[in-house]
Amino acid sequence: MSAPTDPGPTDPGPTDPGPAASTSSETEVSARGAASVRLRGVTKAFGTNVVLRDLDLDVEPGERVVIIGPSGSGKTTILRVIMTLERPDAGTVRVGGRHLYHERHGDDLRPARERHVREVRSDITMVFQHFNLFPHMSAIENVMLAPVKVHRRPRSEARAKGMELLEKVGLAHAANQTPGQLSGGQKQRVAIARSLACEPRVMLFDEVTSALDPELIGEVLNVLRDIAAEGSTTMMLVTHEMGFAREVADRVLMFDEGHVIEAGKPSQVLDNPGEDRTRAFLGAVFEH
Amino acid sequence: MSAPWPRGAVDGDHLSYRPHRRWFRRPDVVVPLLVIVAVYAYLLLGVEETSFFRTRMTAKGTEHFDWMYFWHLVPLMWRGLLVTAKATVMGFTIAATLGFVLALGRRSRLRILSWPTAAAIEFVRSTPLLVQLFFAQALVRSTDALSLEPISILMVGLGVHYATYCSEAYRAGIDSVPKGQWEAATALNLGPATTWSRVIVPQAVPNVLPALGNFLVAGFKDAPLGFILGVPGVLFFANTVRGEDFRPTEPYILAGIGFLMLSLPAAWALRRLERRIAYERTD
Repeated sequence: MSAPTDPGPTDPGPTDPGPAASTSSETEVSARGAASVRLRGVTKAFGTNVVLRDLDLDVEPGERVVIIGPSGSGKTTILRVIMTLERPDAGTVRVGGRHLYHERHGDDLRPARERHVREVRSDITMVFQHFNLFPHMSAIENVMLAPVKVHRRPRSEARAKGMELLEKVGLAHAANQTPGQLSGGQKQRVAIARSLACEPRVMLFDEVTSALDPELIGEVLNVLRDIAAEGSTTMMLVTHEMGFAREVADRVLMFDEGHVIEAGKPSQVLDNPGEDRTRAFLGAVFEH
Repeated sequence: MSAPWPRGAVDGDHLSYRPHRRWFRRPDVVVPLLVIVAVYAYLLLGVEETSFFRTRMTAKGTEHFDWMYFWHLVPLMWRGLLVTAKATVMGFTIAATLGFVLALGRRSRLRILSWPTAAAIEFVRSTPLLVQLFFAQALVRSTDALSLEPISILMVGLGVHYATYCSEAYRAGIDSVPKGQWEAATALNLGPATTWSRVIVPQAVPNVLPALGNFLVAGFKDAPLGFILGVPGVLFFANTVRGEDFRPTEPYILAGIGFLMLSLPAAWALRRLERRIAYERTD
C-alpha cells in the first residue's frame, strides 16, 4: 500500500524538471490526443455587466495556458463558456476543429442542438475550485461514473482504470472513502482523477487550489505537473499560483475587463510585463 | 440528533462505551419490539371478515365506559383501520410517484409545461380534500365508463391531493442540491438520465424524506374522509357502532387509539430510515 508522498513545500522549487517542451503539433486533431480551442468574437454579459467582450483566443493542441487577472476580469467565465456552463451571447467556440455551439448547415452556422453540444463536449472536462465531488459516492465510484455511464465501459474495466488513476494521484488507498472523509487536497486530487477518467482532450482548471489550505496546495500542484508533463491534453488553468504558472505554462494570458491585455511566455509576462495593469496586478499578488 | 438509546453504560464515574451493535442484536431494542409485534399480530389475527360492523354484545347501559364492550370492539375497529391504512398506503404511493412527475413538470424550462403544472398544483393544493372527494365521487357517478369502488376513489383523491404537496417537497429537495453538482455532471458530460438518477435524486431524497413522512402521516389522518364516500374505514366503524348500539364513547376512543397504533410506529420507522439514509454532507 502506497501512502501519499508528502507534497513538501508549496513553492515549486527549481529542482523540479520543467514539462516536456515538445508540444507543438501541426495537426488540428490528433487521434484522441490534445485538441485545440478557438474562440472567435465571444461575448458574455450578466445583465448589464459585460464580462467577455468580443474575445478571440487560440489555444493549440497540447498547449498549457495559464490565465491570470484580477477577480471579475472574466477569466473563470472563459472556462465556463468552453465547458458550456455559460452560453455565450455572441461568437463561436471550436474545440478540436468542431463548433461547440453551432452546427454547420451548408455554408451557414446554426445554433447547435443539445445532442451536438454533448458530442463535442465529450472532449472537454473541468476541475472546479470547490471540487464538486459527488458526496454520496466513494472516491472510486466518483471516478468510475463517467466511464461506465458515458463511455459505456464494463464496470470491471472502469474500476481497474479508475484505480490506476487514483494511484496516479496518490490516493489508491482512499478508493473506498467518501469525500466527507477526505481532506481538501485529497478531494481535489480525486476530482482530477475523475476528470482524467473522461479521457479529455482539453482540461480546464478553475482556481483548483484556491479553496485549499496552504499546506495542501503542493500535493494538488504535483498532480497538475504530472498531467502537464504527459502532454496528452490541452490545459487551460486559471490560477493565482504564479510560481506554478511560471513553471508549467507555455503561455500566460493577462486578463482584464474581458480582454486579453497581455500574452506571452511566462518569463515575459510575469517578469517583464509591458502593461501597467499587469504590473499592478502582479505587484498585488506578490505583495503577500 | 441525539441517539434515542444510550450507547454506553455508566460504570461508576466512568462511561464505558461498547462498540456499536446493530439494533437487532440489542436486547433493549429487540425485546420491546417483539412484544409490540406480538400484540399487533394478536390483534390482527382477531380480525374477522364480517360483512358489516355488527357487534355481538351490548354494553351495560348503567356505565359510561364498559371495558368488556370496549375489548369486544377491538377486532371490528382493526378491520376498519386496515381498510383506512390500505387506502393511505396506496394513495401515498400514487402521491409519491405523481408528485415527482409534477415536480419535474413544474421545473421544466418549457413554459407550456411548467405553467399549467404550476396552476394545477396550486389549484389542488388550495382546495379542501373533502370538496375534491365529493367532486370525484360526482364525476365517477356521472360517467358510466368510469366505475370505481369507493376505496379506489379515496385512493386516487388522496393520491392527487398529496401529490401536489409531495411535488413541492421534491422541488425543494431538488433545489437543495448544490449548483456545483449539476456543473460537475456537465463537466463529466453525463446525460440527463444519469445526472438525475445517479447525482441529483440520491442527494435530494434525504432532504425530502422528512417532508414525505409528514405527508404520509397527514394523509393517514385525512383518510377517514373516505367515510363520505362509503369506504368502510375506521370512522365508518365508529359511526356504525354508535348508530347501532347508541354507544359513542368506546368506538371513538378506540378509533383514536387505532390511529395512534399505526402513526407512532410509522413515525418511528421513518425516523430510522432518515437517519440511515442521511450521509455526511460536504462542500
